[in-house]
Amino acid sequence: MTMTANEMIERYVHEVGRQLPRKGRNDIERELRSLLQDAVDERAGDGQPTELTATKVLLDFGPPEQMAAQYHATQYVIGPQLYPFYRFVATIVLSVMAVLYLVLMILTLVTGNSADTASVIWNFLLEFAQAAVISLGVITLIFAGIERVWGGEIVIDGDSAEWDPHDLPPVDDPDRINRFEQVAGIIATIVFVGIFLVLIRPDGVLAPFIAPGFRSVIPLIIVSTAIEVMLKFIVVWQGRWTRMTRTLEIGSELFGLYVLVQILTVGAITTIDFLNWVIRLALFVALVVDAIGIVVKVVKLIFGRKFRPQWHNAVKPSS
Amino acid sequence: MAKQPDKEALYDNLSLELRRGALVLAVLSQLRQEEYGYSLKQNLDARGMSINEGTLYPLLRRLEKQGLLSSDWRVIDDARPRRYYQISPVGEMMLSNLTQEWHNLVQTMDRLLLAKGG
Repeated sequence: MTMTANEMIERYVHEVGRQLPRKGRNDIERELRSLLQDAVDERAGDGQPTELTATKVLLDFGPPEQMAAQYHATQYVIGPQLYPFYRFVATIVLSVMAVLYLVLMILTLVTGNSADTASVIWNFLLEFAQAAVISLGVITLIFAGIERVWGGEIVIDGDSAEWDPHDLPPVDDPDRINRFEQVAGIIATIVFVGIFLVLIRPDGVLAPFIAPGFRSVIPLIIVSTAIEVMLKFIVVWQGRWTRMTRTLEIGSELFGLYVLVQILTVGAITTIDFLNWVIRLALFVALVVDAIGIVVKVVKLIFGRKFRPQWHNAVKPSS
Repeated sequence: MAKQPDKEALYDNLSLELRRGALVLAVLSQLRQEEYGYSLKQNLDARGMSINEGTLYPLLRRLEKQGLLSSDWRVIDDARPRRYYQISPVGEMMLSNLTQEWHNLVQTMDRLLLAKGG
């Protein structure tokens, strides 16, 4: 089977163009075509260019994949700048879903409407697998979209012009926060409390198991959660713990302690008798641990080490 | 265990790496008057600086994107339309700075290499 020189050139140009981003593709194709024609004509001399002439020229130009790669920068579905954040979000969402499905499964098993334990577990596993794949797909799509639109511009925490080696924090810096962890905490808190509130609404799945008295403390739980989340936002924004946020943290935890006491003294929490005692015991243990934690934090705040300047590592709003 | 590249391939790789930095300088130096891709390639070949097509042509586009070259589709002497490249004012400035840098580098390297050899 023989081809004309032009046909080979066309195939090559098409193969390169196929691998280029749409923007600028036509122009590159056009230029590449003219360059190939120049080279083929030159090689053919006065004669007609043949398949062999074109073959030699194309061998000089190299494989279309390599040529295309030279024409455009490496492209990512999700680039290295964005990837850690992508993985982080995916992990959080999948973990939250796993816990949620586990809790729902246990509740279904405990309330015992279904006779067949194995099939209940199997169904939950299947549903979880389905939901996990779909969520992961959606998250990936969203991040791929972000990459496409802002891919080249995303720089996380980089401000090399203003970098001063003296700013390096000590290796064991107890005030440094991991932004990812803090954001994870915020998301997890909102998701868990949100789901809990939805489930115990009068028409929610868990509504029958919630004792009427318990509902009076729900506003307190919401306020306490809101305070905690706001505090975490401030910490994430400033990039590190400061004297102010540590003080606010103690205040927030004292309020949390107050809410715990209210829950413990309001009477029955759930309509399932044996669970009531388990929950109350767990809450009591939490109360004691929290109280000790607060005392330790107060002592540390008063007698502990110095804090670095408050706004030190704050994220500067980009202009 | 990592596979050892054979010496020839390793040499090719290292020498390519060494030449890569000089390519921009070579290309800019030849575009004081406008050229299209193929004529530039031949020019460079004739002067002993042969650059592979797959490297040279994409490089021209990158340099234009960086503002060092300007380009235009043009028909000259009834030939087919070709994209002609020429150095831009920014490119001129870069070329003169880079040329200085090149001379310094050559001097320094000569000193280093001679000291090693002698």
